[in-house]
Amino acid sequence: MKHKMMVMLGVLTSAVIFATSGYASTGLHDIRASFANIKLIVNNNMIKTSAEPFIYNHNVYVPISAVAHALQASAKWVNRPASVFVNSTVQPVTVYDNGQKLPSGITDGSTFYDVPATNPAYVSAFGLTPTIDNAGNVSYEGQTPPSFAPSSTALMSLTPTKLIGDFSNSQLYPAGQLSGYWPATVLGTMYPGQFTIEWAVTPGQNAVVPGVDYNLQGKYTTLSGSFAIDDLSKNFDGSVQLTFVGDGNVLGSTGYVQTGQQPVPVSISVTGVQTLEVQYQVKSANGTITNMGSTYAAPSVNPDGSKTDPILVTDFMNAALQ
Amino acid sequence: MAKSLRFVSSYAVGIVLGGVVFGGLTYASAGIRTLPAHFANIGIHVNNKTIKTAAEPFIYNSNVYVPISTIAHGLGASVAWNGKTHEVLVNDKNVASTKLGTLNYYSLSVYSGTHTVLYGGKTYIAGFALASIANVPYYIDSAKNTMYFGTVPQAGMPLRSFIDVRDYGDFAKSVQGMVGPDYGWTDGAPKIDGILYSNANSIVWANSGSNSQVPGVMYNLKGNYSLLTGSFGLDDASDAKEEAQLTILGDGKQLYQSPWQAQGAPAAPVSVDVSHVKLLTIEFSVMQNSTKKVYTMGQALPSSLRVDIDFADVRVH
Repeated sequence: MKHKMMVMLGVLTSAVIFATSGYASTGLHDIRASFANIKLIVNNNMIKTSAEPFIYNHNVYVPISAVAHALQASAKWVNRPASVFVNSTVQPVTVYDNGQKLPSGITDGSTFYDVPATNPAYVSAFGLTPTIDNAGNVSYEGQTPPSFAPSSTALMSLTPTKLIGDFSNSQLYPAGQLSGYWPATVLGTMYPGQFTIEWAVTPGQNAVVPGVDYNLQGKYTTLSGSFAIDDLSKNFDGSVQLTFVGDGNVLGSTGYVQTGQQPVPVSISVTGVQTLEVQYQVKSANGTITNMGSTYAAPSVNPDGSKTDPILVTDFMNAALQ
Repeated sequence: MAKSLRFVSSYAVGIVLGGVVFGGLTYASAGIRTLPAHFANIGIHVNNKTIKTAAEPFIYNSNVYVPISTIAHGLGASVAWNGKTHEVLVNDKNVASTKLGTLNYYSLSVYSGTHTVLYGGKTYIAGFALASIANVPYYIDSAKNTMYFGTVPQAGMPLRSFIDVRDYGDFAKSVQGMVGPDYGWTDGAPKIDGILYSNANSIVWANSGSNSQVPGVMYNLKGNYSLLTGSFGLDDASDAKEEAQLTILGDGKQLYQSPWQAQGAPAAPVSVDVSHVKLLTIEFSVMQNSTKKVYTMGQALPSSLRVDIDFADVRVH
């Protein structure tokens, strides 16, 4: 109390000496204040103030710190000249995308920099459309998803006729569903998980190299997509390949794909093919190859030393038939 | 003044008592009171604008009191007085309403706790979330309240703004739960030949123990940049028993190799054409002076060496 009083004395002294403008005479005056249990309500929320608002001279007076806080502003007191500086906590942010100015964002002045990502300028610049639900969940989708021709049939829309290895393990792939477990990400770029055949090996898992059959009924000419190792296992030291077999004949393969490698494009002729089989092969760092249906002796720990992160995560992305 | 001090104290007691008596409402009882108010020509400045008001602010009971209409209007809010309920109704569209939700890509969760804000009638989403979904680097200049996606004019985009897409040697090991290169020393900025460099934007490495492997890191530039700049050398904290070399590859082809850098030698200025380069790899090598043996990326380094390597202030333009 003594300390605060001294501050006020300082204020008064400086005001007397430096006063140049404005109001009534400075100093201590008794004022008649009307108290009426005045409530302060901001955007339908009642604001609790430690010091009570009152009416003086037909104005409702409130402690500036309380109202500033309620309106997400900071209040700073300066002694000479006696001044209060009120500044909104939320400040506009200038945003550039590759040098092109976009509509302004906001920041709370600390951690967060937020942008109006639903604005058409952002949708156009990033090619991404966000939707936000009432709980604040954000879902992004590409403007022209997915990256195969609209007339194509997503491989994921066909029901497998045979599941081999891990894919037949209903604990790993319930109901034989091979996609939609994670958002596929390769070299930082994301792909829709719904259109990605996803095979992963976690530490301690008894991994059996998988395969899957589809009945194409001779209706298609081309199988397209791309194959890569997911960023979730970006430091996996082995390699993986897909081999495509049509009615018992090898149609093509991706070759062994490593991490740090661009996704390998797949474009395989499937003209007249009745049964398409996608076979996986894994090559360890020491060159040991494990074929579809055989047990893959995965390392017990990750290259990074983790015993929980997946050892190997593979993505056959945007698999589609034409 | 001592007298008024006592007066203020006793009034404070009155507030507490009133709060007890009237329950629910924590304030004093209603009615007219005489208060000692200090007037001091208090100026009010809201968002860098001076607010002129006929109703004067004053200090009472160690609080600065202002007419609420003055401040609220200054902040762009509307104010209404309900005389029946004795409520001051402030409507401020510039009060941010923040929610933390899950970030999804095609309905699959990428991470939880993403930041969305309703402010001024518009919806804002964490810039970080947009950058990670779009796979573009971003940089925040907090002094200018500016956020850059993709490129930073003039200064360049710090390489640390990119996600490491492949790590080698020590960078591929989990350090405090994180895999990837170290950006900056914890004990101070990189120092090469007595010159200090930007700590946060430097890729640094020191070996430790017998399990240390010479590191490297890969970034996905997606062919969007033309120039890589930085300064390479051995930090002054090295033990002078070795020299270090930097090799830069673009899509597997060597683009640049620095001279062997000794401790105390000036930093090698790095300026490399990275036009059309998608995957950029940065490799370190170490040569032991006594044996002339070279340890390349991924190889284990003898623990007898104390190596501090700085690739300082690395940016792409």
